[in-house]
Amino acid sequence: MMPSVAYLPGETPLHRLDARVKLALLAAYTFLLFTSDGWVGLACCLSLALFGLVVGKVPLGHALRGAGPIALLLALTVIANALSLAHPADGAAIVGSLSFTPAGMLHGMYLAVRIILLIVAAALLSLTTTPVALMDAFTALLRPLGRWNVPVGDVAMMCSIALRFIPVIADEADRIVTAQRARGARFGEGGPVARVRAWGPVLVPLLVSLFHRADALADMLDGRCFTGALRTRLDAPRMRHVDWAVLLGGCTASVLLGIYL
Amino acid sequence: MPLRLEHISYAYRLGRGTFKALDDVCFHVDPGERVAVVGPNGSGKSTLARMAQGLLVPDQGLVSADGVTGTEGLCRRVGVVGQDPEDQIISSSVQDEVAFGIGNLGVPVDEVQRRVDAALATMGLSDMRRRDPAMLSGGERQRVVIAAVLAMRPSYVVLDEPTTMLDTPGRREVLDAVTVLVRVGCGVVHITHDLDDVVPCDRAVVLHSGHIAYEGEPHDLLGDGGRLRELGLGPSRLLVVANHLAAAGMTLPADPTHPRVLAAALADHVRRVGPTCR
Ligand SMILES: Nc1ncnc2c1ncn2[C@@H]1O[C@H](COP(=O)(O)OP(=O)(O)OP(=O)(O)O)[C@@H](O)[C@H]1O
Ligand SMILES: [Mg+2]
Repeated sequence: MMPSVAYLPGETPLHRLDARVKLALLAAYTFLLFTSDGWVGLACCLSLALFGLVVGKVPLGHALRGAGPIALLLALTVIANALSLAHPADGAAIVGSLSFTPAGMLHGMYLAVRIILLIVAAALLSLTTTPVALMDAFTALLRPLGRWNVPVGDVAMMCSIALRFIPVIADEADRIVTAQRARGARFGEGGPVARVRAWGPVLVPLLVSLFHRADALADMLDGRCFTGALRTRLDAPRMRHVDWAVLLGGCTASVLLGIYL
Repeated sequence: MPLRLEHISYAYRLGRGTFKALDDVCFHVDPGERVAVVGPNGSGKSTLARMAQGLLVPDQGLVSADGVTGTEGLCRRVGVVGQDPEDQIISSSVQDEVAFGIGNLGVPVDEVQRRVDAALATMGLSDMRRRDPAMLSGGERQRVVIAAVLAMRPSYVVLDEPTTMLDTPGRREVLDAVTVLVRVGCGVVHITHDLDDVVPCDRAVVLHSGHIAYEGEPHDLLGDGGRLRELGLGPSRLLVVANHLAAAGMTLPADPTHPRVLAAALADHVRRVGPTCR
């Protein structure tokens, strides 16, 4: 299994839902989020997100982790919207022509919540789908591009190999670090320059070993007559009736809600 | 018609210089034959494997399998199993991995499924078909690789130190799988560091700095301690045991490095001296 920071292993209906359907639902949800205006629409989106969290048994904190890096941006959105230079009727003057408007702040919060909901929805997808399944889903959706000579097979192969080798590379790095430690190397000590320097003796053997692996892998691919075409998959995910139902239901609901809200 | 390497020379290009890795090498394997290739580090064994699959084009000489030359023809007839299963598995399920090579041959899906089933059954992996290879043991993973090669129906399989990364049970598993390959009719080239792997082979070839330094009966090689040392190979374990037995006063037959001969001699000895223990 792929050790991944993003995936929360589980057996919930949301985990079992076909990754392509989840991807489509994310798109539909995004559509709904940005076409419905007003607080009713937002409340509707909020309840959908909460519903997803409950079904997928995803802790809210986990899903909100992705919002961390842009918290400042969200705060600025709210503040910038709350401030006005134009002396609106409900404004409270702060300094000079700058004034604070509750309506503006409310609008800023509305925008911020919308972005947070989008982040939660995307997190729901990545937390309940293995990277491999996600990759497969992307490939499946890109498949039609093959008709316009986009090398979908190559790209898919490259991405899935990259995914598969992350744990291998991590193991290898770990082994080298341990070996260097045994010889007295110190990591995470001293100033920033010393810290970066300490990684030199790790990166060089790591790169050498990666080149060896890449060579072996290339030999394997050539030896198995790989030509860049999309591969035959026996364990390709199959859409169950539930998947179709959820896909149809979800998309129709989003479109209808998007139009009427 | 065998897999045939005729007067092969090959030099790796290193910057402005070159390094001669194979020097006028002649080598062949027949279908159903099991040939061991041994040699010290850097003697050109892996180069030979790449050459057999047509992944390297020789500077001189010709590689052909069943009369066919060229990379594509060779890849279809010659399968290669490498050292580290980690570098040879790219799928997240066993049966998808085994299907990968055949899928590339343009075989229709139901035929792919049939061949995958057959290869999995031959390698004893049928009940692991949906497992993630990353979760299997080293020996199991190497068997997945062998099954993936086998599913392409090669006439010849070259195994380049297939047991080096494995523990003892894994080694056993893979050696049994090699025996199965021979049984289903493949010509097998087993590249190895371990002289014990040479014992079950029909023929032994020793590579030394890019040329063939010995070719013949495995047991002639394994029994000749002086020759082995000369070729940069340690004494075989059987030879060590035989030497100890001789030093302990047992009369040994002329060819003590064949396990069957050694066992018969021991049994005979016990029969004559009696099962007494001191
Ligand atoms: N890609 C390459 N570029 C340059 N030189 C190479 C390359 N691959 C191998 N060599 C050199 O060619 C020689 C033969 O290499 P080869 O890998 O065939 O040896 P080997 O018998 O498989 O060794 P080992 O037992 O270590 O696997 C070695 O001296 C090696 O350094
Ligand atoms: Mg080698």
